[in-house]
Amino acid sequence: MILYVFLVMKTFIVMPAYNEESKIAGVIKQLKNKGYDNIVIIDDGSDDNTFEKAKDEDVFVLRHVINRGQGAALKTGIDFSLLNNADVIITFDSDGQHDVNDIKSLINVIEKENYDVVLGSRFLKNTSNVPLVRKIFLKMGALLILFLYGVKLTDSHNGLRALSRPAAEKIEIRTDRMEHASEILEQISLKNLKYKEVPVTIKYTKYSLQHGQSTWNAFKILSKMLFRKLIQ
Amino acid sequence: MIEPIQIIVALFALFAWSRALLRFKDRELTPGEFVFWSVIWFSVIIVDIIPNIINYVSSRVGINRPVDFLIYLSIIVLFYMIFRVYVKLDKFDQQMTKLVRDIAIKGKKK
Repeated sequence: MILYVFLVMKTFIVMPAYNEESKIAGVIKQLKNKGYDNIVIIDDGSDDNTFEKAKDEDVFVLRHVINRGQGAALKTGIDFSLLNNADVIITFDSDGQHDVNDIKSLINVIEKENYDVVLGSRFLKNTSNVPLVRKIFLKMGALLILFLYGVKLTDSHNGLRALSRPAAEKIEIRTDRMEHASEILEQISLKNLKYKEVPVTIKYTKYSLQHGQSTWNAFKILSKMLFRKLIQ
Repeated sequence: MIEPIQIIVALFALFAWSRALLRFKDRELTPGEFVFWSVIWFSVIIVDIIPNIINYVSSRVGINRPVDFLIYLSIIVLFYMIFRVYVKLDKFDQQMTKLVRDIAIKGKKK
């Protein structure tokens, strides 16, 4: 049985993409070079040629006809992967800030250590050149997540994660925009999922800093998290 | 003695209520929503015709000036309505996302 599981564990890489025409093809190529075949790109209503660029790479390309946000795109990718019998689902950023070499260690934790959810942490090993202001916000975020949901983490809002099939089936992402990252953590706590953090490297480049989340957005995410908590 | 402004307000409230009635007939409003709007507009008409009711109610709830009572009440009602709009908008948002997602999954390409 164990051997069977190792042989046929089907891994899907889910990548939401919004206006990433200059990076998407390169990221897909890196993933393919590492032997990942089931790559799901969700073009979240991009204004540029993200959809065409991804389509040229012979991967699954799903298109949101209008922009619905990263959370919505992730759920579309997860639903699609589940429909296609995924055993492990990796969520990966399409802007090239994640390192494809980290994926294997996430999958290993699910396969060999039987965890439900594996979260990447840029702070477990100091291989990421995290800007100071961002570091402070991420650490504050981690504290808040501990306070709100009781999930203990060293990093918060890291887009590189692995979900086992049962976890992906249980986690309900209802928020469309960036709050999904905290929602996933809330679901880990509500559904009693077994989670672990593993060290990953985040490459901060001028491009990823411009395209990624601004520090101001952290405030917006925080206010939405608190508002949701209030009306629940 | 009925003042012209009272007639105008009463006519407006009746007009607004008739809109609610029409929308209810077209099934665009649920029975609960129709009752809500009926209560709002008929309260406006009653208070408009018998303004002394406000004096009575405000003194009973411990607010000295009737106008203050009206303002407090209006703010509460407005907040409640904003909340309802927010909830509805959130629902629309979720339905829209579901629609976009279903189209994306059905039209997937490799």
